[in-house]
Amino acid sequence: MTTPRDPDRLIHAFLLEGAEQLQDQVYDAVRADIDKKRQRVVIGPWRVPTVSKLMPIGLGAAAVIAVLFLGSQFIGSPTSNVGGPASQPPASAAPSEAPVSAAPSAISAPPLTQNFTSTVHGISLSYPEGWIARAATEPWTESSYALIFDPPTPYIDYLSDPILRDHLFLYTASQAIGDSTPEAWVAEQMAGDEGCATTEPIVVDGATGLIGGGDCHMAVVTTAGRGYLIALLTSDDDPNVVAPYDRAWFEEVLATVRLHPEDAVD
Amino acid sequence: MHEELVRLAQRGDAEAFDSLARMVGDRCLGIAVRILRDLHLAEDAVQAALITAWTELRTLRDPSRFEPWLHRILTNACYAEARRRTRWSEGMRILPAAGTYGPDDYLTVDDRDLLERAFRRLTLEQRAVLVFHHYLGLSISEVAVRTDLPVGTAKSRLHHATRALKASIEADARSTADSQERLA
Repeated sequence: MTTPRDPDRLIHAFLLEGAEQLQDQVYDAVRADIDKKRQRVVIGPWRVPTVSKLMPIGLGAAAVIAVLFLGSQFIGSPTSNVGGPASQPPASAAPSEAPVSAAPSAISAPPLTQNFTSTVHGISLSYPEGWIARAATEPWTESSYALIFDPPTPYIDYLSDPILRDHLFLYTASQAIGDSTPEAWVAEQMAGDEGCATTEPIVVDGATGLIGGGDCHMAVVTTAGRGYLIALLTSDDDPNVVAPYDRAWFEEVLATVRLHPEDAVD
Repeated sequence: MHEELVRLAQRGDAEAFDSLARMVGDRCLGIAVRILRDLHLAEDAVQAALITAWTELRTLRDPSRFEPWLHRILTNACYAEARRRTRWSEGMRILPAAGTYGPDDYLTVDDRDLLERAFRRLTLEQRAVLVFHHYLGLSISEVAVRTDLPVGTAKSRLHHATRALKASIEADARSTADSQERLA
């Protein structure tokens, strides 16, 4: 008579059997393929838990203060029109006065009082007071770039908000464009950034190139055989905090940029 | 070592990715060949998975999770490969997974044949869960990560797949016993 067999053991033994050696030609095919393929550029910061735990409390407090401030404008003012039509201006308001809806912003961007000079990339620019600068330590030699905040990509200059860190930062990099034409190099960088669906021409410190349209705050320019990438990354997870860091603010930063291709290191 | 290679590869170092691929490639083939039951399909799936891993590598947040992340890509590559081949060559006879076998004396030739037929009747998704659980010896929660399923779904899929295989084994055992009785 046949001994009953353990079905679990049979299944397990069956699944342990099989090929386990990948042929060299598969690795070779992969290698040949990846040499031709660009890696997808990550433009949004990863949601690593680096934001201070106090941040939500601070934001909540800021929101409460803003509400109280706005409330006091309506309730405390002798010219308030509580109960009246919402759109009716106060009787004392001069015709040229700003509309009531133009409330002051609770959070504003700090002034661009700091100056950063990248010894690797040959670029200098102003950045907000209190922000943290982490300069590139290596030249950028690859065709694309990996935007990794922590640990930082060594060939990228990072200027970040001390609290929001990877949720709000400026970054720059540059490289010799080699055999590429300026237009081709700029187009390639813009194509690698999935966020820049539309672009428009821009001049930064005399260098021509493109800037992303819409919410894509990235400028790519070339001068004297060198390509520069300057970008602002804002995370959309807290629109109130990043609201001041818009296209206009980015253009303010770009206006402070000075390019020194002769000082760059390759 | 592993993590450092991942970081280098995330910065576009193709050499580092090649080394990484060679470290994990055999295990990937082991998984793919067991799910697909065909060596050539498995090789194609591994190749596709490694190329996808290269292009998407910068989306991997934690370098220490490279292998589970790659296995999830591989699982999807296996599904895609099987469906693609089914569309292109319906009715094509799929050969048993050839290659380096590590035979277990507990399994007879008949057992292998029976289990091979029963296993092929399972869906690809059921096969994947069984392979990760038995071949890699992973817990249900780790299987769920690699198959991109909620833990409960992975658990029930494993249960149903195991039950289906056991039913085949038991049916075969009953039929063998009947034959032996008739002969006696």
